[in-house]
Amino acid sequence: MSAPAYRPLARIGPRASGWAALRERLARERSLHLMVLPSILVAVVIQYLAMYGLIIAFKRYDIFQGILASPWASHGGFEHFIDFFRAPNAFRVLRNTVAIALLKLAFLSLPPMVLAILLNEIRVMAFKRISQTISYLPHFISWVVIGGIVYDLLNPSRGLLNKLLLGAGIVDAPIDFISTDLYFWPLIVLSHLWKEVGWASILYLAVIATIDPSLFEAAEIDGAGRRAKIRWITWPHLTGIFMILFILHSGKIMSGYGDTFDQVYVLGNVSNRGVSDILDTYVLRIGLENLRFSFATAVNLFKSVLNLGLLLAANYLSKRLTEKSLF
Amino acid sequence: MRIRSFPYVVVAVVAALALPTAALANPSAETTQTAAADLAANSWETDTSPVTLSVYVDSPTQLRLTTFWGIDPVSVRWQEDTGVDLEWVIAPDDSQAKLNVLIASGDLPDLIHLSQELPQIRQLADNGLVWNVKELSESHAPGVWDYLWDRNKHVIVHFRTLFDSMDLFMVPFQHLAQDYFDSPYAIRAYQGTTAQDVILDGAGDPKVASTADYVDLLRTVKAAHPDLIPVQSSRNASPSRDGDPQLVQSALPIAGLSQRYFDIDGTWVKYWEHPNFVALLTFANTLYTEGLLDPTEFTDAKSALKAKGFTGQVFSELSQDADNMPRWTTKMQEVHPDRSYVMLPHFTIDPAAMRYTTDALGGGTGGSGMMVSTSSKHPDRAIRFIDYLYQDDIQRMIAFGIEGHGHTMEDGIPRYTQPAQASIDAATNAADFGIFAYNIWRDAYWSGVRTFTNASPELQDILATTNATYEDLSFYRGGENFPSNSEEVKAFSVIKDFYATEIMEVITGPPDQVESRHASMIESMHDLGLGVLNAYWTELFSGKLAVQEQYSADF
Repeated sequence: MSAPAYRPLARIGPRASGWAALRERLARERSLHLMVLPSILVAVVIQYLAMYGLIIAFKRYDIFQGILASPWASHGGFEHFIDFFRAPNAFRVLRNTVAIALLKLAFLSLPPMVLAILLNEIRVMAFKRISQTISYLPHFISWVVIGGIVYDLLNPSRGLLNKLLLGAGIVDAPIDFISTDLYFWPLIVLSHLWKEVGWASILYLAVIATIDPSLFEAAEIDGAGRRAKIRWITWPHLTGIFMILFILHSGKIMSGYGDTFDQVYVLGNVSNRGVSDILDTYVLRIGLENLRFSFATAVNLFKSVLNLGLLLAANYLSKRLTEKSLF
Repeated sequence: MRIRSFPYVVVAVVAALALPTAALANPSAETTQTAAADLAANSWETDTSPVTLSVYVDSPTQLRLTTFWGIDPVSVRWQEDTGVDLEWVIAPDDSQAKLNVLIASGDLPDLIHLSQELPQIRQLADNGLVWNVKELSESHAPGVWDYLWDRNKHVIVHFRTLFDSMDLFMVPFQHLAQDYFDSPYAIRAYQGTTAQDVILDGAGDPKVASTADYVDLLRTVKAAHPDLIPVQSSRNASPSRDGDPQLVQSALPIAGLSQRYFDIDGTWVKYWEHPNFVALLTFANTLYTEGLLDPTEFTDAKSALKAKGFTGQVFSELSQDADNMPRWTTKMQEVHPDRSYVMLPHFTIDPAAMRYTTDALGGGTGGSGMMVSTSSKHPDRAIRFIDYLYQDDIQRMIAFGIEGHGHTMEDGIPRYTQPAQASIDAATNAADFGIFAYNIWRDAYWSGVRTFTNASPELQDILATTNATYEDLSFYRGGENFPSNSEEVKAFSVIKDFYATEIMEVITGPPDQVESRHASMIESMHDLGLGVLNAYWTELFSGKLAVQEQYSADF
């Protein structure tokens, strides 16, 4: 009876170092790497190689000459950044962008979490499902359509809201909600809330579904009521995802938080431009519509750098204060 | 044997090679002729072998062409006559972005059809991306240049001023040839102010000669019909390319400002700085502050504004095309069967001092043109195709379809055939008869005949009236075609953005502050670089004047 052939236990024994280790790991996890490869390729081609185009922020890009042949911008390449800060509306645009984003961050972060908790507490399944479906529906309607609905609803001469207010004697004359500066920011926040609150609650509902039911059972045995279970079990489980979403949204503040461009582009007009103009609409109007591609890129680059800084800061603060962070 | 035969073989081979070479080296009288002289009587008949030309059109609405081309009888005839098939390059939404991408990629189509207002046309020429029309025409289709030179010098002079080199790089379309200018069928201008006839009669049909008369009329209408919007301007959505609310753009002829650029004490300025502009703003302010406009005038989409007109909610429309009136009346009569739109006499702020003038695109020098790209593999076929399009019978075909199918000639005037007349829907007319499908390549004469001969006697009278407001304003076009990356582009983009919000403050502010707010706005615009623009416009229009003078001897 011969002894079994000796097989080194590579996975158990001391790991090989350097390239050998990498090769070994790649071979071992090749199916996983193959699965992730398309995503990496897309990220490299679409997001990293395209960064080459950022160079035009520092050039006087001319579509007829191409990127490389276009001359460098003045002021050491920072001509367009300086132009932006010298523009008469730069402060207004920055103020609107940050204000709208902060308002959304303040008023839109919590409602999806609360809605998810409320939905979770509904015991009549049919009602729960109908409520969920109704709350998700607006997410699938584009801002163009929603803009039309909002315009018609709030129209001073034919809008339902003005007719109701006039009919009830609450106001003497119709209010132009969309064109009046005072109402625009609340309108932006409320319309966003209506559109997205249901959809945004899905993530929280998913987290709630992962909570071990034995925790609730144990709490019930200890005499906990609904509010106590929410306070001591559901809520703490949701704070992790809440902080992650908060950090991610912080990285979009200079974009006005999420898809604010679509919203402002539809609901904004020349009458409310003083409060509706954000960086993205400004870039479109001043940069792209006037073929000032370098200027548009410079402003967008500035915006992206600030967004990255805000994301890193939010991540750091979250890590320090709540011990929860993205990385 | 082999050695002996060798010289014969060599001689034979040399002779065989020499024959065609000799033919090339010693051309006959025929082969020394130029390429142009090789052309058939009609240049497009020189080569009718199948070829596909790509053509970019800068209007998303022309996507409809992709459904007609090769199916309707007109395009089928064109393909048979010229051998040219067209591959359309039309963006479904942002045609400007599409054009920029085509330029940046270096992959320009054979033919590029653009509005003459776009800054890219000058840059395409300056960068050598399009053919000099005269050079290309002389080589391959002399008829194009002959047509332009013999019948359209006014167009050539205007188009030359669009380019730095003063050469012609764009073939015009939608223009009116000089020999058609005095035809009773030529429609040179369309616009005016319309009103609902029943309401107007109810107001006593007052004489409207000035804006003061007009405002009085609107006040009377408002008092008698509180639910009616006295006036609106739905021509386009606000703001305009200049940053104006549409109301201001529509009122420019009323203030004698249609030409938009003015020489004031040797400096060319935009209407913003013209003294009449304050009067215009006062007029707009009155309309706003007295509630004669709907509050949504400045914010509603064009479609929403039009819907109010179609449903008879608006008494008067500032700046309406005469040939649109029958359609508007038909729509309104679905709600108010007794009402029609009529055109008011042309009024101005001060009839003694200013004349209402308009220059409808297509009224004189046209609104668009076509360029042949230097990257085209078939520039000869491209210019010959343009030559074909310029033929008078082809132009008639664009407006009326094929003779015997879409129309018949009666005393030199085309009349639609019964089936074509019965098929009033524009899309069906285009698909079944090819009628007006390719109106981007129309000239103003035959489309004028088409409009005029199909108009009611009342509309014919109105058209005759609006025609009288015509003035060739093409000299003043192209003021915003700034060189890319220039100081002028920077200044204009910033000033326009500032102006767009400030002008609203002037119009919607207290009436007694119109003048002071306007003055303050202009001062701020100067701080933002308006002086740079004025210097540019002064140089541009002085240059244009010099070109006009240079070519005036040819007229």
